[in-house]
Amino acid sequence: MAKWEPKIVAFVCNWCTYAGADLAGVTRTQYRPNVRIVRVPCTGRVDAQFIIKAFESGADGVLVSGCHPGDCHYISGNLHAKRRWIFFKGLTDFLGIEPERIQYAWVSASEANKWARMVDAVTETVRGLGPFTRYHALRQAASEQNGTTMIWSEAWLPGIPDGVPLPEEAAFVPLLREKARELLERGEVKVVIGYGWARRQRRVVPVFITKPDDVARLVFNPLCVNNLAVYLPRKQQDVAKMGKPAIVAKGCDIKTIVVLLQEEQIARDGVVILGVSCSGVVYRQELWQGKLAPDLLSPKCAGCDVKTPHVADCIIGEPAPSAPEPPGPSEAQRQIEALDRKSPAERWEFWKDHFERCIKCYACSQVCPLCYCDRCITEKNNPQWVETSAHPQGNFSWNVVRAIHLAGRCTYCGECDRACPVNIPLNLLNRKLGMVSEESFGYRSGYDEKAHPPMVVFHPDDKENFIR
Amino acid sequence: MTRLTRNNLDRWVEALLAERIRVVGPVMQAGQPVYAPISRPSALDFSSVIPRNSIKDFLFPQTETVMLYTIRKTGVEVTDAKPAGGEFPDTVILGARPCDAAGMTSLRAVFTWQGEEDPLFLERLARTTVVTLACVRGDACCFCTSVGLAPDAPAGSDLLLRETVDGNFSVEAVTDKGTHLLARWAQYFEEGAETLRPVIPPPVIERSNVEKMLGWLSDPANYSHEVWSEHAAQCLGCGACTYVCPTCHCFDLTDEGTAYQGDRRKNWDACQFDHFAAHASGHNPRALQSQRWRNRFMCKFHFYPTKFSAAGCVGCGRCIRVCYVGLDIAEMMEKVSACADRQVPDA
Repeated sequence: MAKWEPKIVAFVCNWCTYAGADLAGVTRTQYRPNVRIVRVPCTGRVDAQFIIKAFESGADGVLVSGCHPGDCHYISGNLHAKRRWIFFKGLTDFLGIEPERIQYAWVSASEANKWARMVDAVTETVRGLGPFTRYHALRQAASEQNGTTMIWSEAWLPGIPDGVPLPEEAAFVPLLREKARELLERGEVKVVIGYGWARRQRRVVPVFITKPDDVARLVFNPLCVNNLAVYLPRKQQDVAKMGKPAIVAKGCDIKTIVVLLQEEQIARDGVVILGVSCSGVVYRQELWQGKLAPDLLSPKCAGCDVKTPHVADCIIGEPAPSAPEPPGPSEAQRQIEALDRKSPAERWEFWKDHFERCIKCYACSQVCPLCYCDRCITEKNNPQWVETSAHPQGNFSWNVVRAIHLAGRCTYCGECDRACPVNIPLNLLNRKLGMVSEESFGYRSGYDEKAHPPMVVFHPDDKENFIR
Repeated sequence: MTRLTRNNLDRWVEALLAERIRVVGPVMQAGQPVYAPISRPSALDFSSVIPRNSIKDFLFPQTETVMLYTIRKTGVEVTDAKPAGGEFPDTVILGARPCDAAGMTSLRAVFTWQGEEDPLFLERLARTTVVTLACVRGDACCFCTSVGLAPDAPAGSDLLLRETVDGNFSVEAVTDKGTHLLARWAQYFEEGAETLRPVIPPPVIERSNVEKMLGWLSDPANYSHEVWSEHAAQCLGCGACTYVCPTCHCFDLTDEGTAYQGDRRKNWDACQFDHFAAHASGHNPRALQSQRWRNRFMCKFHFYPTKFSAAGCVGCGRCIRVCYVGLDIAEMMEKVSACADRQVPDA
C-alpha cells in the first residue's frame, strides 16, 4: 500500500496569496506538493461550508489564506473573513476538530517564501496528526446506514393531564385583552398574535386574534413558553397576509424581535409590541404539576435580565421585581465549560453521538425565528451542499451550518432544543458561539436594535491569536 | 380459542432470535416507548398506549440507498444497492398497535399503485410478519374509532393478539402468513378458553364524519375556504407530523457522493416543507403554510380514499402529540364536518 500523504486543501484569494503562490512557482521555490489550491476572489468568499466540503471530500487539513489586513483588493473582504474565522474556529474547536487541521494565514503577492514555508509547516503538522480518520469515518458510516434509530425527546402527550390544576392567569390579562381590543377596533393592527388555550387539549397554543370580540381568548401564564416572534418574518406568509400584527412578547421574545429589526426582516412601525412582564415559563407544558417549580423552568429563564421588557410599544403588567441573579454560571454555561476542558477527541465523540441521532427533520430550523431564509442552503442541490440523508456525514454538515448561520444572532430562546425530536442539545452550540461573540467583540445579541450584528460589520482591531 | 401465555411468548421470541429472525417490538429507550429491534424478550414492554415512532420505520426506512453509480470515461455504471448483510432481514413485528398495522395496508396501496411497484418496500413487506397486540385503552389523542378502526381492528395484521385478564394473550390468525407462523411455531401456542381484558375504546370525535368530509373536500370550491387559513396559520411547517405518521409516504431521491461516484438515496420528504411542491419554473403552487397543511389533511381524507382506495388516517394521534404549536387534526375534522353540514341544507 502506498505511503499515506496528507491531503491539504488551500482556499486562497486571487489577489494576494494566489499571486504569492504563483511567485513561488516562478522563482522555483520548492515546497511540499501536498496542497491542492482552490482560488477564490477574496477570503470573504470562503464559506464555512467550503471547509466542511473539503473534509467530506477527503482532505486531512485545510488552509485558508488571503491578503494582509489593509491590503484587501475589495477594501474589507478579509476583515469580514477574519470575523467569520473567529466564529468558525470557536465552533470547530468546540466540536472537537483539532485546531491544527484548519489553519488561517495572511500571505501577500510578494511573500513567495512565506507561502512555501507555511505549506511545509502545515503539511508536517497535519502529517504529525495523521489522516483525519475521525471525519472520514462519517462517510463510511454514511454509506452503511439504511434507516435510523430514533431516540425521542420527552415531549409527547401534548396536554396537561386531567386533574392537574391549570395555572392562574397573570393579573394583567384583562389589561392585555383591553389593549388588544383597542388596537383591533381602532384598526391600528389587523391581528394580535398571542397565547390562548387549545380547544380540545389542556395546553396553551399560539392564537391569532383578528376580531375585537375574540380578545377573551388571550391568556398569559407560566405555560406561555413559545417564542411567537417566529410568526413575524415574511416566511410566515399566512400571518403576513392578515395585515399589520401586534405581538404579545416576553422580554426573551423581544430579544429575537430586536434581531429581526436589526436585520430588517420587520420594520419597527410594522409591528406593535405588547411587552408582558414575566416571572418565568415552563420548558414543557405537559410536565406542569400545578406550580412553577424550579425544575420545570425553561433554561432560558436562568439569569433572565429582561423580566420587564426592554423594547416595547407598551409594557403590560407591573415591572417584575428584579430577581436576584442566580449564583454562579447557568447550567448551560457549566456544560460548555465542562466540554471545553475535555480533549478534542472527547468533544468530537460527544457531538458525534448526538449528531448521529439527527433525523434531518429540520424542525430546529423551522421553529427558529431567526432562520427565515426563503431558500435554505439545505434546499440547494446543484451542488448539494448539505447531504439530505440522515446519516452521520450529512448530519454533521447540517449541524455545523445551522450553528454558524446563527453565530452572534441567536438569543437562546431554546426553541430548537424544545423542538428537536431526538434531544440534541442544539442550543449549547449557539450559546458557545454567543460566548465567542461576547469575548471577541463585546457583543450580546438581542438588546439594541440600532447596533449592527457582529457578522455584518468588522473592526480593524479585531483581536485573534491564530492567524499566521 | 388459541392462546399464548406470557411465558411462551418469551420462549417464542428466544426461538425466533435463535433463528436469526429480527424481532421488533415496543421497548423503553431513554424513558420513551419506541418500536425497536430487540435482542432479548425481557426488553419488550407492552405497557405504553402507543410507541413514539410508527412501524413504517421498518418497512420504509427514513433513508436507504437504492443504487450506486460510477461515472467512467466509458460510460455510467449503475448497480443495485444491497441492504446491510446482503438481504433484507426476515422480521417479526411483535406488539404493533392496530392503527400502525392498518397504516401498512395504506402504504402498500401507495407502493403498488397502478402496478407501479416499489421493490424495496415490497421485499421488506414480504419478509415481515405483523403480530398486532390489540389495545385495551387509549389516551386523549387516540381517535381510531373516528376513522372506522377500532382498538382491536385486524386490518394489516397477520396475527392479532388480545390481552387476557390473567396476563396472557388470545391469538387470532388474520392472514395466511399468520396461519403459517402459527403452524411453524405451534409448540408455543395452545388451545384453551380465556377471558379477555375489557376494552375501553377512545371516544368518537363528536360531530366528525369521514364521509361528509370526503364530500366537502371533493369540491374544488372549498380549496380556498377560510377554514384552512384560520386553522393552520400557526403551523410552522416543521414536518414532525409526517415523520411520525404511519401513512405518510413521500420521499425524495438524492445523489450523494462526488461527481464520479456515489449513492442514490431515498429519503423521507414532507409536504409541510415550503419547497416540497415548488416547480422548476420557480412557481410554488402551495406557497402558503396553510395550503400545505390543507394538502396534508386532504391527502388523509380525500386523496388516499379516492386515489389509493385506502385509509389515509388511522387515528393513531401521533401528529397531535408531537405538534409543537398544538395543531389538532381532530379539531379540524370537527370543523370540516361542520362546514359540510352548513353546505348541505338539512332535508
